[in-house]
Amino acid sequence: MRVIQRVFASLRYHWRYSLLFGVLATIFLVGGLSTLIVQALQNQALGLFEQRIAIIDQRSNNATRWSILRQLLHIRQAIVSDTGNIYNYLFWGFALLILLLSIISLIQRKHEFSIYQLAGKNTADISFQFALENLFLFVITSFVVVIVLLCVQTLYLNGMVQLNQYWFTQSLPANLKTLLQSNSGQAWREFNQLFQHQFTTFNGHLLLFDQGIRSSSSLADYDRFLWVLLWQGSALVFLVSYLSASIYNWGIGRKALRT
Amino acid sequence: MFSFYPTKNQTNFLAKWQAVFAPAKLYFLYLPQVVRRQQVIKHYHKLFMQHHLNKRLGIVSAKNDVLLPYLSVRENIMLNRSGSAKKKQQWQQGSKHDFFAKDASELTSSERFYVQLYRNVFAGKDIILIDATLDDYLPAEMRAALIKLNQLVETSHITLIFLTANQELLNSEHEQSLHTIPFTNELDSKKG
Repeated sequence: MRVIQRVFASLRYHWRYSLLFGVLATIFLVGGLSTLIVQALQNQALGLFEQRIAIIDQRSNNATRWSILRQLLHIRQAIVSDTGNIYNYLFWGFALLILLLSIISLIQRKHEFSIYQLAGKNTADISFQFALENLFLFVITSFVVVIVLLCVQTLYLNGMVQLNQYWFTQSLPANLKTLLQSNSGQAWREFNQLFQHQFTTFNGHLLLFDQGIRSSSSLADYDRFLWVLLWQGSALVFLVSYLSASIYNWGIGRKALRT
Repeated sequence: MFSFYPTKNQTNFLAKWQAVFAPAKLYFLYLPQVVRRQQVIKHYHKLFMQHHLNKRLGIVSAKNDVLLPYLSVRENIMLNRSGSAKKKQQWQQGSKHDFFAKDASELTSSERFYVQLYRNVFAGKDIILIDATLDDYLPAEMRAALIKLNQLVETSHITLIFLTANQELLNSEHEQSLHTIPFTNELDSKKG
C-alpha cells in the first residue's frame, strides 16, 4: 500500500501537472461522451427511419426509387460514421497529448527518478508508479466528470439532442431543407404519393425528419459509453505512461553508468 | 528467481569480490578526488550489472538532494522494501533517530548519510558503496559513528565500503584501509 501513498504524495506535490492532466482528461471524457451520445441518437433515428421505410415498402417495394429517401439514408449514415471518426480522432489526439505531457513531466522529474534508482528501484517499479499516478488521475477525473454531468444531466442531454438536430439540419441539402421548413406544397404532395393506400402511424414529415426522441432520458441510459470511456481511457493512459516512463528510465540508467 | 545468466559466473565474481571485501566488514578506500570517487562507483556498479548482481549493490551518494521532497524521512528510508523481513524488523527496533520526524529538506549531511544507509539496508543490499569525504566529522563524532557502523555491519551482515579523502581516518583504520583500488584495471587502462 506504500506505493499508493507515494502516488498520492507525488500527485499533491506535482499539482500543476495533475491539474493540466485533469483538464485534458475532462476534455477527452466530455468530448468522447458527447460524440458517443450524438452517435447513439443518430443511430436510433437511422434505425427508426429504416424501420418505417420497411413498413411502407413492404408491398410496393418501390421506396428506394425516391431519391429523397436515399439522400436521407446517406445523410444519417454519414453522421453516424462521422461521429465514429470524431471519437477516433479524440481518442488518438488524447493519446498524443498524454504522451507529450508524460514526456515533459518525465524530463522535469529526471532527478526524482534518479533518486528512485539510487534507492535500488528498478525501471519496471518506477514506471509502474508513474503509470499508476496517471491512471489514478484519470479515474479521479472520470468520477468528478460523471458527478458533475449527473448534476446537470437534463441540461446536458437536451444540449446533445439539440446538437444532433442542428448537425442533421446542417447536413440536409437545399431541397430537403425546404421540405423541413414547409408542411405543404408541391414537393410534399409528390412525396405523399408514397403513402397512397397505406395505413401508417407516421406521416411524411415524421418519416423524413423524426429523430425518434420521445421522452427525456437520463445519463444512466448511456452508462455503457461511460464504461467504454473509462476502460479505454484508463488502458490508454496506463500504457502510454508506462511505456514512455520505461524508455526514459532505461535511458537514465544507461546514461548514469557511462563514465 | 530463474535467470538466463549462468550462476557460475556470478559465484566466481562474488568469490573474487569477497576475497578482497569480506562480508560483514567495514572498508576504507583512499580516493581524494570527487571525480575519481564517482568514476569508481560507476565502475563497480557496471561490474555488478554485468554479473546481474546489481540488486545486491547499494550506493550512498554525497549529493545533497538524494531524498524525495514529498515523502517523510521514514518514507524515504522505506522507499524500496525488497529487503528481508528480519532485517526490516531489526532496523525498526534498533534504529531510533530524532530526524525521522523531520522534513527531507531539513536534514544535515550526516543525517542524509544515515537515511541513505538505512534505505540500502532496508532494500536488502549487502554491499554498500559510500561516497563520503567525512571531513565535517569531529574525531569524537567519527569514533561514535564508526562504533555504530561496525555494529550495523555485524548485525546486518553487510559490507560497507567508504570511498573517502580523509587520510587520518585511513591511518587510524589501517587494517581495513586500501590505498590501491581493486577491480579497476579496466578503468585505469581506459584512462591510460
